[in-house]
Amino acid sequence: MYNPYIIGKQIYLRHPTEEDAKGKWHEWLSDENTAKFLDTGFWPNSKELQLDFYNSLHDDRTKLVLSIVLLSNDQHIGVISLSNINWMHRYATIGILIGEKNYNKGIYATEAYALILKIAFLRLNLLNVKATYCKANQNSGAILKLFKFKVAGIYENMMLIDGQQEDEVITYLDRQSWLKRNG
Amino acid sequence: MHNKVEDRIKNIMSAVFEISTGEINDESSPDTIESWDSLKHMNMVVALEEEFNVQFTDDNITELINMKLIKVVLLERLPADRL
Repeated sequence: MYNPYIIGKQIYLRHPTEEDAKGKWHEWLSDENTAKFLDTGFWPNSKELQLDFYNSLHDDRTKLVLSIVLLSNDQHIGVISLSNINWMHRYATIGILIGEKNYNKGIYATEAYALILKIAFLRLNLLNVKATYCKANQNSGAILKLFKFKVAGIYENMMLIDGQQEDEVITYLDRQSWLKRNG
Repeated sequence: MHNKVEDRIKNIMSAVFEISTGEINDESSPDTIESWDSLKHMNMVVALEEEFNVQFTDDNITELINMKLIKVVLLERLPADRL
């Protein structure tokens, strides 16, 4: 285990390393199916672009990007983030990517979500965590429902996926609700 | 009484993962059930909450990774009169 930021049962989260950026991370974001619902998914990624992104994280205090790493063998299987952190109003936007398909069974994504929500509400003292997702992305809808994100509204026909206009769902989870459930 | 809980869990897993209840045992997990994917995992957890009228904590959710642990977590969460 290297430089853990928070440790779970199957995984731990840590600051990304240059090795992560030089590894498979960039390939995950080029994969058509993995990147289908990501804002950045329409353009091919590269190792150089991934290294640029990695280097941009060093001084950026509006974005917390963490590598998801298996406790069993230290394999980097994905990334999870709190982005657009607003320190005045104390909110951020959550995002996750499990890039290694063998580990896309739900148990790692849910643990990563549980860990980063703990970071958001107890370590960064945020008051709200936001998420928007394409209604056609059933995985995102399911994980947000599981963690009791509330639906705030819908942008109708906001996204264009596979030639089809799709609704974008706006959700959020507030600190009080999270504390009540996890207290 | 615990058998009743186990049967109800098996019925949910059977419906979600589209397998027979006979194929489910204590060792059943994403490693042994081929159809266990990300979406079905999350649907299973939500279905368990609805079936047993409980709300899992985030820590509970991370423990629901095989049949044996699902039983342990549910038996901890359920009041004795609902077993």
